[in-house]
Amino acid sequence: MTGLRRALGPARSLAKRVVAGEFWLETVWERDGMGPVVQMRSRDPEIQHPRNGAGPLNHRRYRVHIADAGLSAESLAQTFRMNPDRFSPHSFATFDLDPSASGLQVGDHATVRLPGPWDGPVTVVESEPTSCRLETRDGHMEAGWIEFSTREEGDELVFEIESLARSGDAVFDALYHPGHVAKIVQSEMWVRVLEAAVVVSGGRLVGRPLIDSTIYRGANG
Amino acid sequence: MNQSTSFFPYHFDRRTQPLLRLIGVRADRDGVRLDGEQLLASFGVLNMGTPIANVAEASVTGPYSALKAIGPRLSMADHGLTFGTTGRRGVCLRFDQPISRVVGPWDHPGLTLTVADPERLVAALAERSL
Repeated sequence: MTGLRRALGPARSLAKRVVAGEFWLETVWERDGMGPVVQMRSRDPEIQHPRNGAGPLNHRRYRVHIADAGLSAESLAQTFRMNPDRFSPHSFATFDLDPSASGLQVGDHATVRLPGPWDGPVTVVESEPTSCRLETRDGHMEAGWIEFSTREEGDELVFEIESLARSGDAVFDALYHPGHVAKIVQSEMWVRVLEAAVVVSGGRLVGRPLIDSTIYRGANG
Repeated sequence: MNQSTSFFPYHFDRRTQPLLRLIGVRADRDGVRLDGEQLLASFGVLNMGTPIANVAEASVTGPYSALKAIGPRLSMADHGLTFGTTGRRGVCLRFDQPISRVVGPWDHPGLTLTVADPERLVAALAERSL
């Protein structure tokens, strides 16, 4: 029953969003080219490089602008690094750390647990005062990297998630690009993390959560 | 409460706000954002984005007939789009390249946005276009 509830989590979360009018604003750009060269920083042989993935290369940026935050950019990033699971939408995703005591440090392994066979093992490859980058490991649904960062823009605090990745295999790519289901679930998950960041910061959301998606079709060669 | 330097909320009439809320438009969420090199606008479930460099002209316009201005509107004359919350005033944008269709089957060569402070949006666009 717990598994079923978890599997239905994204749909329930999306339904609540529609009823509440809590939409995100997404711009999508389709490009024919290969896209940027993806620099992977880890030399770990278990790292899943985009060249071993499937489908187009997806460059996505998700962000929120926060007003009247009670935390600085460094403090919010540190809070995320110490306990990323606090930002997770627990109805369908959790963030497991290994080890967990000192938060995300370079070389740590972590797993984003999702419904179905889509758990996402990652390695921390960068941990800076206002940013933290993870690279995908074998078995992840995607092949590439994802970065969490914070910054101050004028009077606003920005929490941003940026990813550059291809699908991990052809099955996931079929759900992601022709099917769109995986892309929508992914958007819902990261927007939930952004909304949690607003709550943790003690501030208020300014405007809608924003997503930029650039799809490089030429990488699917 | 600090005012954002890059977010421009809409002006809402007391009478029309509940009606717009029914189609998902929220006074505390929707508006126009200048984000880096992009201009983004949301209107409930509808939204648009284009490079600021694609804005050929921005001018303060209005007042408009409330019957013709409120809601998401498509001009049958020139296919211009309106994200309208008031008949008071707004900003009319004209684009070098029409933006992809948001309402109806045609791309939009122009967009009217009834922001609360039209002069501030026009000035911010002018500043970023330099």
